[in-house]
Amino acid sequence: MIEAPNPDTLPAETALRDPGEVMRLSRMGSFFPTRLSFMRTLIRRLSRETATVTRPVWDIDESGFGRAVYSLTVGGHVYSLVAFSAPLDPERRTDRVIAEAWDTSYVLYDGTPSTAEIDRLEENAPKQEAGRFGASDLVLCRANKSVRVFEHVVDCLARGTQPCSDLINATGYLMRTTAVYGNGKFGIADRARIEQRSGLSGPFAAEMLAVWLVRGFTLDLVEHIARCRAPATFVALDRKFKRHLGIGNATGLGMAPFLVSHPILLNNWMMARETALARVRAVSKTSPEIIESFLHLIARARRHLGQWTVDDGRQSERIATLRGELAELEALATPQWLSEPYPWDRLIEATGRCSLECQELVVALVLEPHGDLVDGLVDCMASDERPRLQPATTAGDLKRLIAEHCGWATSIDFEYRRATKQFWYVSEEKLEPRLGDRYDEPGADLEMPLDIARRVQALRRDLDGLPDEQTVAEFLLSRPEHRYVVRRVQTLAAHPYAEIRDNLIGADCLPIDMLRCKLSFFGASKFDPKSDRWTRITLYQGAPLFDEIGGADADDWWLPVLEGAS
Amino acid sequence: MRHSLNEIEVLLRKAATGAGYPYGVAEDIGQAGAWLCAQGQDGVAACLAGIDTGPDAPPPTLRNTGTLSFVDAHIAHCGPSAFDFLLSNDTAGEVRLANADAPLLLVGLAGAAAEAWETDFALQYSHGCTVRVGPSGLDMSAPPPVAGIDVILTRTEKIDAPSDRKSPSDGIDVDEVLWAKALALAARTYVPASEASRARGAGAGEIDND
Repeated sequence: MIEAPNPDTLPAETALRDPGEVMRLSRMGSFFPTRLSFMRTLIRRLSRETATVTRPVWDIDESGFGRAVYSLTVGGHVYSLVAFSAPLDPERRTDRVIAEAWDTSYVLYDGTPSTAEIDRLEENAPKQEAGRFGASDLVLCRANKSVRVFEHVVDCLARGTQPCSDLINATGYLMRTTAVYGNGKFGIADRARIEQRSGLSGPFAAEMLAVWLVRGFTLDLVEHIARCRAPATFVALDRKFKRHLGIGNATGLGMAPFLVSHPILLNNWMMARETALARVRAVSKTSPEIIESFLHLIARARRHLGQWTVDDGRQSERIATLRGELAELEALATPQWLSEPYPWDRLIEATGRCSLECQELVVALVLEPHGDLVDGLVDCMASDERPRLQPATTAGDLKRLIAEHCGWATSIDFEYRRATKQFWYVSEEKLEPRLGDRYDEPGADLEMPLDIARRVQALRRDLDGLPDEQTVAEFLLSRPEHRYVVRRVQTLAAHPYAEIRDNLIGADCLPIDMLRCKLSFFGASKFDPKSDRWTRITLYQGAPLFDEIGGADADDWWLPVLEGAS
Repeated sequence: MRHSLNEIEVLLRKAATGAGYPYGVAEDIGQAGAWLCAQGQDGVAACLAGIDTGPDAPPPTLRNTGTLSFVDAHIAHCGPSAFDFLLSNDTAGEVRLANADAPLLLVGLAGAAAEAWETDFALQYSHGCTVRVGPSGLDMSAPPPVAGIDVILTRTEKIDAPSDRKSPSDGIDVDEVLWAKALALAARTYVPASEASRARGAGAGEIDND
């Protein structure tokens, strides 16, 4: 149970940034991971507990196929990653949801699985969506090898050499996950089972734990295969490479609707982030230690950007701009400049003329040395609250709410075809979410309800002519089609960061912006867009290894750099 | 087969959407079904009974001071509005639902509303039984009410309903025939597969051997 904070003891804050400024796709699509990101939060938690990972089962053959179990205790509960590795025909290796086979599959299990339970999971985990799972199964996921890197590392280690730094840096992982399922999917446990448990109560905490354990498995697996291949010449992978190898992830459209279907959760994530920024901006005078830490971090960020290269033209240009802008800020933010009053507020102000990517990088940067001010906010990021209809609200009140909070929606001209060009839908093919062209493809009659702005406008039109004193209850009795959007408008009044303030069906909507926002909250970095609707990323790059939890630098891995890579 | 509560809620919401209900109403139906399942009731059957016939025109209503009446009450349609009416009234009001087609769904909608608003409801049936629903659970000693019954719905003082709520973490057994029926309704919301959709819709390739 989290106690309500005492307002008299809360840190000072400046005004929060306006939701109309923050909740735009272009800005959300420029976010970077912060120390509030869920992976960071989990690793801090594991470090506080000095959690120890054990490997009670390792039944993997010389080719790397078989099963393994990793266990650890968090908050007094034992959790185990049950991992399966199997041969995969290269023709079947795809990151898409429509895949039906994978190199590896995993279940995060609640407790220590018996052999019978491992057998059960071995029957089902490799089938993923086609399998059935039970209430002891908390997370289901799978990962495919980055064939080029995995084979290179095996080959090098077997020959007694270390892998190529540039290749390790360019890819950043041995395997990438292509889906991580929690909260009741395919019969696994509802989130209610763990949401009150210390350590796993935060958003996506169980999923983040599973992925961290998967990363450890990939490192063990690559060494195991190399050792079996050439025991006489094998060498272990250098720790600096292990630390820099995270776990990759391919993320497509499936993740985007989540931000729309969980408005209160989105609000809470954003509110925590913006509150953290407001607290840091309110710092009137900073300490030499924090200045030193900041200078170290900005230098690291510069080097990280130097190691962030992608094929995508749009993102490459953004990175190039960002490198230049950060260099200017680094020159500006001297120790003396930072010793003047309100250094962080002035620094944020100074980014006003920079790209959104630079502005959001600096937001993440200034939070980083201020854990004592901001880390407690992670307790406010979870929510099981549902948007609740307020039936006593009057039509007049509802009109005022729309006028006050939904100008972003009512200002769009939906008569213009480009404003309705896209539609979101679920394909019958493995229920893969997809995006279509309304004027060129069938299926728009089955579109998902992500057209929030258009619905707000329709509601506003239908409120015209109603007596101001008529209640929402009376209105919805004859117009139930507005129930969904009335609930959202009312939610927005109390949760200002609950809506993406853009037209999600417009021709200019780039789903990749939604993906980057959500993935940044996970803690992802090295965004590598492959189109406007899917991206690869790296998770846990630079994060502590199993045997480094609790170490001095266990929380110091924001925007990691691989020494020796170009 | 056992299913998680989230799975049940999501499928019932999709099924209601597939049956033609507005999304906001479908959300309420999904929550009602999951709430019933958590109470050990057959929430899937209750929801399917309510949505099977599809939405119709806005239901005929009669209104007097403090009372809202539905004739031939189609619960999936008028149920959410019934609770809106009670929750929007400061004064003690009642909703009369005649010839209710899915009375157990009404119990589920009551449960979801009770949880959301931390309030209590009484459902008084024409055969004399009363079901009480609150945030802490459900007091329904009599067998589940059957279709065609008349119901009077009121908000009540807080009660301590004996909670026989199952742990939602255990999963819920659902009849396979009913589940298949819900899946079929949900499938009406999916766009048929095509090569063009597969190639363009997700913006990704189909082989990733890099």
